[in-house]
Amino acid sequence: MTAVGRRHPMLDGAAKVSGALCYAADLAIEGLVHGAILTSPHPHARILALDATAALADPAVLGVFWHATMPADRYNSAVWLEGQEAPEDEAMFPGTVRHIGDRVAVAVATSPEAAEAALSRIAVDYAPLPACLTDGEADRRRGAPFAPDGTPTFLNPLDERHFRHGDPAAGMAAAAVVVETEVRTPKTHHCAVEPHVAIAMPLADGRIRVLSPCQSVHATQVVVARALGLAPRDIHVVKTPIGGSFGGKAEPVLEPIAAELARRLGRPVRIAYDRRRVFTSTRMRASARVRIRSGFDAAGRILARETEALIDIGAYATGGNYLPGSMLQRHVRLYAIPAERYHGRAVYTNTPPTGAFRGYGSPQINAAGEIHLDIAAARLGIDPVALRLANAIGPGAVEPFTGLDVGNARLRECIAEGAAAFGWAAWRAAGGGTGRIRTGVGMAAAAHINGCFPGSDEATTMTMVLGADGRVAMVSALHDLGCGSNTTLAQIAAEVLGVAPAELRIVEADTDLCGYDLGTRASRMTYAQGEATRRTALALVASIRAAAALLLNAAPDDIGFADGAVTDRRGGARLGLAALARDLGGAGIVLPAATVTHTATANPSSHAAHYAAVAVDTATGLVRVTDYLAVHDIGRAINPMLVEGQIHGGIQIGIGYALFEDVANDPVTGRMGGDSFARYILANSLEMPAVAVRLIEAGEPTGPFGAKAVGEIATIPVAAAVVNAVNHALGTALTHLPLVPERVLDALDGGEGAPMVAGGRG
Amino acid sequence: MCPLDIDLVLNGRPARLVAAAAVRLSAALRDHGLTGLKEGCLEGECGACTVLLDGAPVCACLMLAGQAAGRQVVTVEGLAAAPGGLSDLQRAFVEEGAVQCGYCTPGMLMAAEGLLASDPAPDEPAIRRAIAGNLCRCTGYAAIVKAVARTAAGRLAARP
Amino acid sequence: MTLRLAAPEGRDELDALLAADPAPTLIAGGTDLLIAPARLPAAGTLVDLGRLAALRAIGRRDGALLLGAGVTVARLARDPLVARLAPVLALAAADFGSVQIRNRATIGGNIANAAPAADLAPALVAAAALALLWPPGAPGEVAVPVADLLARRPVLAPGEVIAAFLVPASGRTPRAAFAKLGRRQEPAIARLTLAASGPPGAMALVAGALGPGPRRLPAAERILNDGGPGLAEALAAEVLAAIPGRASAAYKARAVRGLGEDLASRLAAAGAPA
Repeated sequence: MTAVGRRHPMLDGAAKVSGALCYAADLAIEGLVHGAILTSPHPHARILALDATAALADPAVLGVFWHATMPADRYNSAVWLEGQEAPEDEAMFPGTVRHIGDRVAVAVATSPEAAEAALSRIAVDYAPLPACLTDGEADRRRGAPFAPDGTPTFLNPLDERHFRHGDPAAGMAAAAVVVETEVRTPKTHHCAVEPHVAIAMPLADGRIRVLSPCQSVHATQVVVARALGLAPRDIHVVKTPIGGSFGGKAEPVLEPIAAELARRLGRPVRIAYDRRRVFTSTRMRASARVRIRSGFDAAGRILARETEALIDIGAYATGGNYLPGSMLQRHVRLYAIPAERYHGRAVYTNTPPTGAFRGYGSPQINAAGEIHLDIAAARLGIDPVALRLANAIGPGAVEPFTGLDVGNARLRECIAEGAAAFGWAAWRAAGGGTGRIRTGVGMAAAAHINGCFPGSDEATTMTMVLGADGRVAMVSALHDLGCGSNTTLAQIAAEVLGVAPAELRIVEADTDLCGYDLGTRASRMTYAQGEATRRTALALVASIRAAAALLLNAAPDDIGFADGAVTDRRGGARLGLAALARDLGGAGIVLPAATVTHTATANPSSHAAHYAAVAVDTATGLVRVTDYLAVHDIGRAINPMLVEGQIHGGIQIGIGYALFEDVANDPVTGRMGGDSFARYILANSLEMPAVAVRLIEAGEPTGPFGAKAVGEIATIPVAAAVVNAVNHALGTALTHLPLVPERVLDALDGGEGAPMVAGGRG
Repeated sequence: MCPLDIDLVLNGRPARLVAAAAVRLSAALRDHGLTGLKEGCLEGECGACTVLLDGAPVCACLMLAGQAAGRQVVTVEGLAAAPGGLSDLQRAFVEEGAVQCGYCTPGMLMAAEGLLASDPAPDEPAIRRAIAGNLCRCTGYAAIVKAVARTAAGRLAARP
Repeated sequence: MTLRLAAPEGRDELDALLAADPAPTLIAGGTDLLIAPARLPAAGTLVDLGRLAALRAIGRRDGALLLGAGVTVARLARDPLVARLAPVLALAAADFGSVQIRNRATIGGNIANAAPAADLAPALVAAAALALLWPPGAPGEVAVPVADLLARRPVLAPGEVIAAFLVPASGRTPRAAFAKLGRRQEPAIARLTLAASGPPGAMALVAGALGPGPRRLPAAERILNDGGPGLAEALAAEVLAAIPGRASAAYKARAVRGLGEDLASRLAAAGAPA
């Protein structure tokens, strides 16, 4: 292989290190004006009146808009298709605010400073309403979330999912040991270093152009149109380079407002959030309270499992109605369990809304399931690795919820090879101790999806065109989040075409240029977009051969193609792509092009097993992760360097999830405690352990060159591996994330998280 | 607003920033066209706005533009020897996979250059400490540490 | 009617600026003042203390260590005179924020801002430092023990400027140790700090982030100096006495034992001074 499997540097790496790459906030736009958003100080309140007279006195302020003067149509920011059924409960500026940080008004001015200063001169009259701030309270506010006329009631649950498979009662009755745990995972934030920003401008043809660091231009187009009461074709969306997203920029938050203001004022408008508003007023990961009860036989086989999940999705639905089902799908993909019962509910609270965040339901349910299994292992007296191996699915397993074949599943290899490579047995025997610093190891297994199949929209259209200069342009709804997906796809195309990846011209997502696509989400880039790329490249090769045949007056079979050149088999002449393009142009022959729409027909699982070693300071409760091994069933690593990069980054997010990160919405006031980087703690360079990565490349037949996804699964098992390591070190049963020092010490003192088994460690 | 004329040495050349008293150095530099440095938090926690001030890494967001008068400031745009080129450190970042989304990268590069100027042979803990004030959400820092170490080794080897 | 920035280079210039504006905003490193939202006044004078050369001096005055208020935390961490005469300050400075913050933050700024978690405050108090203030509209300087200064509300009167810190020094390098507890290793806002400094057997032990200002811990200090048992219990008792009823009290009373252990082992590792 010339391109696939190579550690090719990111194609736009030079532009990034030189500082030349312009992200949305770097763009200099003629006549740009700036919007600043006034947000609610109340978790729940009716807006009675708003007086902007003082703000408007400043000649630099061009306008102040609020719900009385902006379109009031409700929409759902998580839709991706025109006309898609979704809970439409969000408005650009609601008349009743539903969380601290909810949007109240926007001031537009000629400078960002003037817009921001205008906010403190806007007088708002609020009538505070009772606020529902905990999942428990939300669970009691029962009713239909929408009235018959479509008005949102914000009663609960928004979505409820039941699933049953086999006979759980019988399984429990036959079990030798039954273990029950409740794991709580917090609301955490993506914390992409690039804050949210959107630019919109009116076009001469009457449309509005939106420039946005988005994960789907088509979703942005649909949502903006819906919010403004326009047709999607009235909105032109272009993706800008993204300074990190992780799902946080998957849903349009600022785009509808910027677009409406551009339309209203007839000028280009930019709205950029400061870091505080990124925390309080965008999206975040939903918190979950997951109770799992499993019945085991003496050998550790799970005979039955019952799961109850209560998910707090915050003030607006966004995509929260999908969470109970998503969690279920991931939950039943990992182990072969003959009897399963699941009940998941998503509930509204008056806290900031949640949305997609790397894994989308998987981090929560995986943390719950894998921490549960380790606690069970301790109760059973069985090694945690052995317990996983006793239950893990194998290749060709059928997942009981969707009926999908999990493909060439190498989960057992991940677990077993990982244990051996990590030195699991020796670590396990050595851990714990009675000193101040106690060491321990833990592991967790995970499965995640590849794309959205069987969702009917899981189709991607790509066009490849040979340009007059001999370079091939790739036109598709490409949304590189900064993860290197463009480079990966270029390597796939380059492999087929026999050119260098840097020779390809990648045209990123633009609704005027590319066919409909779901965008970068659900781990579909390498698997679905990658296969579309491979097939399109093959179709382009066929088109190149046909054009060359025409040019050279040859039969199609006389023309071969290899290493970026056509060969005339009759005489052996070779024509590189640049020369071919030139000659075709001279001969008046249409340049080769190919357009392929690829619809995925499978959704295999990617798998991983992560191993973590920790050192816990029992005096202060601080935890350090000291060693880490991540083993991934990746099918085929198109670019091992980018794959490793995804895994390292996913581990950083997961360590934060286990130990440090919590937006900490106060259950009494609704105020966010972690609304700045000073108070919301991320794992920095000093908190990261030495990380080893091991890739199992056993090939997935339905993936391009056998490749499967890594982007989301990279972060999914991390938190459980770390928590399990802490529980091993201390002999505790901590289940409430993050394991902040207070919780660690509480457990050591016999409080919440104290050992379930007297003196016990498995 | 009464803007100040702020004369300084910027990326090795005399330059003038024009900014009102309350304007942050990060904003003034970006308005001057040096959009390489990013404003990620405006509280000196993310390090994306790191520049070298008289050779020392500082957060430009926690300085007023006027405080840079008469000082030497180097931004990421000043790292390459020639326009369109890349320094050894920049090349190492690209080749080692130390760049993903790239938003933390300019600040990270400046923090690393600041380290190498004062400690040409840093061990791994020293490298990690030097970038402890630069947040990255993409790379987990390992490739960044590798790129800095490789550059340090390369520079030491190249010494006459 | 706009805000103007002035950077005086000498005390006369500074006095003139302070006389002209009754409530000037002073800025040194900016690492506290400019943290967003940084509500700077719309009008008046912003006085940048960064060009006052006198405020950047490190030297001696009658045997004591003299530190200009404008000395950065980074310089404090690496200056050989500080290491010799007041090592507790160098230790506290080394743990302060990130390298970017250390390169700009100043001793004077850290004290003037008077955050409960200010890292240098307990170290300065343990070192028995005096703050030397330039009174507004009057010549000379006024010496105030740092502990007393930090108990004032507000810490500085309008127009009052911290010019320097004077740290008593003897012929021998004092014993010193510093331990800080945060939510992660570094940089981290201090949840609890312990600073010890002084001659063997007569060190001062001062806690930071345990209330609005630095707090001397006499009972624990005695045990630390005598080398007897019960340091952990004494520290825990001091914490509970300092912040009774605070939500974090139980945790800090527990965690301080670890901090005390770290402090004691660092003292032991540093050995007896020359």
